Amino acid sequence: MAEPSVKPIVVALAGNPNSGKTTVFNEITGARQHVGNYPGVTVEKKEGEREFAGRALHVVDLPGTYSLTAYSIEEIVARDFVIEEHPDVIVDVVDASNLERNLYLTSMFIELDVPVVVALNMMDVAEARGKHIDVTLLAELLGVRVVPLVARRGEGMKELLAAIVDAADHGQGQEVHVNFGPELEPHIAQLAGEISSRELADHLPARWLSIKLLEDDAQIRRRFEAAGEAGRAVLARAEEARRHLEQMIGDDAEVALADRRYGFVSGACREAITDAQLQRTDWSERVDAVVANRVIGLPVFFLFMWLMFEMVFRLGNPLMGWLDTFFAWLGTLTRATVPPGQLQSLLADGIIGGVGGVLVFLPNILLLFLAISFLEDSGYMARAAFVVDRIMHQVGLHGKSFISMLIGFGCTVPAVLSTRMLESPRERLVTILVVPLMSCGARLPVYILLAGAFFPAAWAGKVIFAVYALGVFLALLMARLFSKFLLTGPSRPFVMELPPYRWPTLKGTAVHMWDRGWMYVKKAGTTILAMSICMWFLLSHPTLPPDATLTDEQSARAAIEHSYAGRLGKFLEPALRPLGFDYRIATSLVAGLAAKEIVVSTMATVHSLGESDATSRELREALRRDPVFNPLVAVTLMVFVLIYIPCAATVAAIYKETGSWRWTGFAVGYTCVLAWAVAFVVYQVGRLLL
Amino acid sequence: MPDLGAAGLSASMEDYLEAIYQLQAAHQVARVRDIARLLGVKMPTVSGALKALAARQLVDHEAYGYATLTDEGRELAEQVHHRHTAIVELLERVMQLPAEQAEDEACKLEHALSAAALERMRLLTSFVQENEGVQQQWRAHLEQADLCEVIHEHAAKTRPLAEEVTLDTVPPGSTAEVTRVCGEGPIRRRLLDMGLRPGAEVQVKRLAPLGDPIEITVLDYHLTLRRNEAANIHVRIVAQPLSQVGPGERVQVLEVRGGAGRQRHLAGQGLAPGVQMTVLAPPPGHQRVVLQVGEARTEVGHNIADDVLVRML
Repeated sequence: MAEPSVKPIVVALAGNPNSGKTTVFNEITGARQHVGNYPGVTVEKKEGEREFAGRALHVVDLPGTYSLTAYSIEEIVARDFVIEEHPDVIVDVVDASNLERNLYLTSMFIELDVPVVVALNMMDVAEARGKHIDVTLLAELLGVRVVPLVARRGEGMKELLAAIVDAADHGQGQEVHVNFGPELEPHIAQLAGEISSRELADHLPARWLSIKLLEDDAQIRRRFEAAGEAGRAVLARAEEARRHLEQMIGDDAEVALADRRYGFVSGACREAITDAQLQRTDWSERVDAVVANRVIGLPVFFLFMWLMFEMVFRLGNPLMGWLDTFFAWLGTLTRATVPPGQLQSLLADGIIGGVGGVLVFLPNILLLFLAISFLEDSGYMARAAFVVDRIMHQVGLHGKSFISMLIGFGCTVPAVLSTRMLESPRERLVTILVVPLMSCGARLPVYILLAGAFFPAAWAGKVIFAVYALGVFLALLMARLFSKFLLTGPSRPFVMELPPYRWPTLKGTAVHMWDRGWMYVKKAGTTILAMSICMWFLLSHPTLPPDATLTDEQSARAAIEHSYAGRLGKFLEPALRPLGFDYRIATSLVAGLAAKEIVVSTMATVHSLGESDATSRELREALRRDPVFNPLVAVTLMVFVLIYIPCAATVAAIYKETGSWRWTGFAVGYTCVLAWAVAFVVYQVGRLLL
Repeated sequence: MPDLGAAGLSASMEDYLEAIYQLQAAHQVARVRDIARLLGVKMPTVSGALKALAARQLVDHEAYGYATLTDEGRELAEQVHHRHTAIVELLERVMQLPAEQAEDEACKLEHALSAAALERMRLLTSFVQENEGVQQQWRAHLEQADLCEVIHEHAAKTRPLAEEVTLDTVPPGSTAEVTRVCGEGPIRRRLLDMGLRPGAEVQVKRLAPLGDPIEITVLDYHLTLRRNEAANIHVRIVAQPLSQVGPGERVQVLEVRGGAGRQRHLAGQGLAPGVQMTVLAPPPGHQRVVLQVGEARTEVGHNIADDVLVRML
């Protein structure tokens, strides 16, 4: 048992993306992990606990990075954690089969004055490629502890933990620095001396600060700017050194530093690796010859997307149906046991309806994240982005945004959640904002009803297709406008590794799926619940006294017209008049905020019909008889339903993912305005033409 | 018969015997002056050596200025000469070194060889000479190896000649060397961090289906970047596929990718590493790459031309 007085060893887990860092994290902490965000940013922070040899370890998973610059939020988060929180040990997970690039990051960590343990992962892959790594020699050359691992099989984990404890207790041991050569070293030493003598280092290594000053690192520069006279003197000195270096080496210091680092790393690799130069079949190469192929790359991509879609919604929808039935049964049960009145209505319609409304999405969401995590862990996601990036790039988005948008055809909620796979916050936000324009499954019943009622069967399908196409067009258009005018600023490099294909591990995929699923239930659940109660209140209050002279259908119609939603509908009628809508359509639209398919059932209610669905003949005939309706109004309404405010669950998901009420409000606001504008054009132009 | 091995002659003594033997064969007698010129030494040195050889009764050196071999001396000299020719033959005929170099190196090698090693050399020479197949295989192997030399020399010498282009314009299949990385802050740094630094070798693998982004390999891993990002990287093309070369260009084959079968097949058409050729304009509607290799004209399909790496001359 650990001594309660001994503080846990804080371990920062770092490494390149695709180095197997997550697998190492899962292997170390098992189920004892929790997910949060780094303070102030939307970068995910995973932490976990482990006990080893009587010691408690607290492991913090740093974002996967290739470098430690001030240009990307992940890199800043990673280095800030190390320099501000000063963990006891940094574990740098390194892909042994791609040692040179992976060790580049290691060369930066060893400057931070925190003991480093290199976890040499995927040793099996390296061996299979004929690369033999002399671990002892590598450790000596880098001056750090090196532990060979095969994390996906759990091999070497004990040794890694032992090395962590050893490093925490005994420190780094030997000091090895990258030698930046005769041009750079004097400047580094001089700057470091100046920083130390002016006592500006704070608690940070002076050598690291001088290197960062030579790189002209924005964050470190601000640090010195804030340090008054002395800080500015050092900055001036650094500026001079940079100019001098530029004259001497004909390129700026940043290039020279990166070059020396790679020199240091490739030198170590040359000595420590014996390459048998095996003639091996490169499977990744063969797979890429198909999936990234110039001709069939796109068809293959669409095939995979179709398979994913089929799996998620084919497999998910029956499960969704069962959950739906279950909640309906629970509602009936509540109505049977709780006496009629406000409480019954709140419990049955508000809470059970609301919670149910959230949880019915769960199978779809779990399946979707299963598929996404499979695509990501196997390495295909990067290829998918490669294949479709051209399209998305033209509207200022990333190739991966395309996948979120496709998911949006199924359901907007998981589509919004799936934007997590995008690294750039800007691209993520734009994708979140436009994803609701992709016509989701819940909007289809509305289209079927309206197109079915006002167009001959041969035309109905074409009209519906046109509405879908309009959605895609608007999504791309808005993405372009948003990234051009609203979310400007330097775009992030696309430069992306295409990792070798790997079989995802069951554990990794399961953990990933569970994390996302649980987060959805927990966080989105609470917000959606609140929204559902709001919607319930709008639709059922104030109540009418029961009137025995009316039929059930008539009293339902009276109730909804009397409710806040009905009043809101009447209030909105003048605004919607130019679109050809009356107060009953407006009321249906208000009700549709809960979920868009509710537009159909509300439409039935306001036409004094009982339970109806989109294919009900009664409802279609009622609509056809209604003088307000004609084919043009039907099309306008379809367009409006396509675009206007996403459903309550989506709004909650947007809030959850953006973490900002402002952006959530913006999403609601702009879809409203856009819906009105487009519907207005459709209706007015249609009237002129017809 | 006197045995050269048992005679215990020094290297220079052997050289003198051989020189006298050669001169005698040409002019009946060997003059001191000619010996000195042949061996590159001064005349008094020659006189001293001749005295020593005369003492061992290997030469007759009565008259000043002349020397002739005794019977024993002739036999030993013959052995020295045969040994020399055996080495020259190996170096020249088998190892394909230029005649002058072979001669020169044989002189240095001959005195150090044991009789057994010499015998093996002779055997090797005759074995290679008599086996047509072995000879061909060996020549092909040599060419390949020499070519590597050529490539290295080329890379070292002609670097400034190769035109600098940006990576986005490099045709897929080509290998290039990074010369400069430009661009603003984040993108430049990212490229450097990913290993795209001056001196790094990159290979352009393919374009995405819609032409952008591109896929490359660097440091033995795959990377994708957009064309506008790749435009920041200045490179020199080291090798490119034959299929990408326009008509009228003269190229040298560096490498033929694919199995041994394809390499043999193409070698039969004259397309082997080291070969220089000119790409000709194909007749209208012709789907193959037409080549002038020496006097012969040959053609290959586009997919094969993709796998023949060449450098522009």
